[in-house]
Amino acid sequence: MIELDRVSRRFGGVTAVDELSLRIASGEFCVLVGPSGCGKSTTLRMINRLVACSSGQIRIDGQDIATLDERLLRLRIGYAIQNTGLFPHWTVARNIALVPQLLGWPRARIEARVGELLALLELPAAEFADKYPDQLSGGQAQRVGVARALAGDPEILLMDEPFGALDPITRDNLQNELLRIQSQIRKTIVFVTHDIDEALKLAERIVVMEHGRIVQHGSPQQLLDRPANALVEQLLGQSERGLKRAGLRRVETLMRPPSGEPPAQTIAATASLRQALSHMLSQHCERLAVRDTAGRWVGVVHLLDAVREETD
Amino acid sequence: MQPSNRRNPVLLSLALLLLAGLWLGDFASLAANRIVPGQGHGLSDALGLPWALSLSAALLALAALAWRAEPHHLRLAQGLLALLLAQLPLALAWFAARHLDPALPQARIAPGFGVWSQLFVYGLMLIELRQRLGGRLWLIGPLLLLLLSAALIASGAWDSLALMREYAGRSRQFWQALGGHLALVGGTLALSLGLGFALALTIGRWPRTQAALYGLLNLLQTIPSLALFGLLIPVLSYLATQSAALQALGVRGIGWAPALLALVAYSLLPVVRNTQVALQQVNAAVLEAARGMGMSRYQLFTRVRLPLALPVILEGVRITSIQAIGLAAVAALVGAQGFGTFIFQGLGQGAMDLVLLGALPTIALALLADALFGALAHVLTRRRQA
Repeated sequence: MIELDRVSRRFGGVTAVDELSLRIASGEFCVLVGPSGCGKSTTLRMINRLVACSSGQIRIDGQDIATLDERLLRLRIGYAIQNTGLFPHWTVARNIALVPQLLGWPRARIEARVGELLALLELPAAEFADKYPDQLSGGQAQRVGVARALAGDPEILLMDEPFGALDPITRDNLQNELLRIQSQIRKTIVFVTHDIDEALKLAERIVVMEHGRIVQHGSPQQLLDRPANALVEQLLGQSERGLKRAGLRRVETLMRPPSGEPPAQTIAATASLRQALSHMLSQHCERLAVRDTAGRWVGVVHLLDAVREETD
Repeated sequence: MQPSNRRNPVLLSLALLLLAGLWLGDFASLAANRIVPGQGHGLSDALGLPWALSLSAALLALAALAWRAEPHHLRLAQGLLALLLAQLPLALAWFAARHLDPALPQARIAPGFGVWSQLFVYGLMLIELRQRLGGRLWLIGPLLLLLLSAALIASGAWDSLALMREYAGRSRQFWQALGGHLALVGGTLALSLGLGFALALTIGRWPRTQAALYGLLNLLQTIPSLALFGLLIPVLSYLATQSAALQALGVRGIGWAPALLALVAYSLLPVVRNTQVALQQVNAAVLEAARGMGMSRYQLFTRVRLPLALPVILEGVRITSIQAIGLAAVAALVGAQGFGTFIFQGLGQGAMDLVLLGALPTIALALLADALFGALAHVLTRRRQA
């Protein structure tokens, strides 16, 4: 568990983070989002002490991090950044092995760990282990960056706009990868982004920041339902807020049981309501047959279902 | 494509110019002894008509290949050039064999315009072909030249060369000079690297010192070398008279001490600047990541910053070593050991061959240092992008 207790950071006369208090539970995926200069990156970098607090206290599992050895603290915390920061003179394998090496793991364990991580990030070891960073595409380099951050098996993973410099398709893929990996490893992740769609997609909890303070925090659903102020509303994209909410609802939660003949157009049960609406709009139909992963017909979703109030 | 687009004007004009120069200038000269001026011999006179005509034909063929410079023509030209380079040392030996009078044991031959211009033009052609073709094959020609020269020296066929005659009279001093030259350059490199590294780190740590330090180093750089040697003589003489320890070390107003000090002074600027820039330009994201991963300052420096900066630092060492090799020759004026001794002796005696005995090895050393550090940087950068 990470606790930020009235933490401030001043640079000269400028207050970047202002009396911020936040509690991030173990295994939680927490996304800090806000306009540039809102203090989200500074907040993140205070957790591994790349930036020192001017006042306040940060505790990890109850321990004040100011009392810990700076290096040992960082070895316990994974760190991934926007431009990957891969070491250009080291191979992919050696880059990933960095933290285990600093931790003094035996060689065999390091090798096994590197292989495990390459597999987890879907980078075949035979192809990638001996490549150098300049031989990788942007998406591959960022995968290696994430693998390197996970290498020491840290409890906490800090990610500072890791997908910010990637093209939309690669970014989308890596977001899905990250969700898949998180479902397997359950780390405490603090993720900084300025992209609200990325935050809505990844976060269990979103923390919206402005001028070094928290404007609102809550689940994506809570934010979409009740934005605290004009900034959050603007961030959520006003006119598209309804669609973004629909993006969080799964078709299977609002479908009707199958009856009569199945409609011609189909949609996967795990798809979002937003995808279902888009499909109806492009196919000019009011009803979609819902099918599960095995292709069985499990229900029907109707255009009118989309506008019903949520009951759950 | 227009045929004219495929022409290689560089190769073409070089070949034709060289051909004209070979027939107009002297190939080499012959002198009865060290004092009398040499007697020049033109190309066909020097080597005989068959050799002169074959050489001309080869150059014409080279020009023809350059006229339609298809890749396979250029490869042929590269082969032809290797042959031309190989015949040059043989031609000198052939000239000696044809013209030397056994009755005159002191007689000596000196390469003339024809030899030097061939060497120079072939060098330019090599560079041009290397740029067009790439690869390593361009090395064959120069290697043949070096091997044949070494073989001819060993066999005694070049003994009558003026340079060899000068060497024969001074072989002991020659190797001493080489040792002295290398010791001076090596000492300079070691001192300026150590000191320069410390200064670069100082600037990195306390950026405020940058302006003052660079001001001082720039000032040192602007003092002409002879003036600096001159300035150091009285200072060191005075210090030596005051300190027994310095005297014991062999520090005097003239000799190795002022030479070393001046050379180090000139070497500091390139070393400090390259080292400092190299250490500073390492990608900020890489350093941020390294710190965030939990590297200590020491680990960050030795494992990340230094290895990434090394190619640029080596570039500074390369520049410094070449500069020091040249300046060490001038340092002979203040009594330092080295090839400069022969140059200034030769100038004093009006013996150009002796000047060459000092100048040619100096040039060779500089080229060697250039190639060595260039290759080292190449090996280190092959897999790196800072």
